[in-house]
Amino acid sequence: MPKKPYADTRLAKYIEKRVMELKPRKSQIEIAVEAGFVSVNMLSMLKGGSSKLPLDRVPSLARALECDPAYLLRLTLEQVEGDTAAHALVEIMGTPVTGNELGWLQEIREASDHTDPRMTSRGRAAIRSIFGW
Amino acid sequence: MRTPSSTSIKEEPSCTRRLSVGPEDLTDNEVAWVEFLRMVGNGRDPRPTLRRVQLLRRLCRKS
Repeated sequence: MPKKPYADTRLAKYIEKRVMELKPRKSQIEIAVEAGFVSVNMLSMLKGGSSKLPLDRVPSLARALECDPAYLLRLTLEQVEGDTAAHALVEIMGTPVTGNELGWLQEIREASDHTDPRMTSRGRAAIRSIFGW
Repeated sequence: MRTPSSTSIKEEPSCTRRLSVGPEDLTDNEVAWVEFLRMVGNGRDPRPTLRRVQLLRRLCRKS
């Protein structure tokens, strides 16, 4: 087994990015303590991809990283894709919807006057143009 | 629970993993919008910024 089996996962990269973004006002040790990790090295291991994030740590780490818990959970489930428990969770519950996604839906509802618009090719083109595609 | 509209699309995006409903139920059409946003966002979680929302409203008005 490679030393850093999760190094290429989006979760490892995202945690590294958030730690960097928070650096001016929160140290890595403070984040690790806030997340409830017994060892402060755990955060380095998650960033480096040598360890995976336990599901029960998602809420506290999301608080410590000041990010959307649903988004962090989605990345965590993605990281353990081979895990049967995670697979069952996704199959039954689906992937979590983030606050930003709910924000987009609210805007779409208001922009469409709550007509529940279909995702048409025009709608796809509109979204692509918003994101500069 | 909100009822999906009768015009709900049956054609799903290539990624057909279910979305969890979260704090509120989503219609089939809303699920399709979120799936597409995820695809366009390339795995990120883009914020509905003022500029983007203004663009969305402008595009919705045009149609």
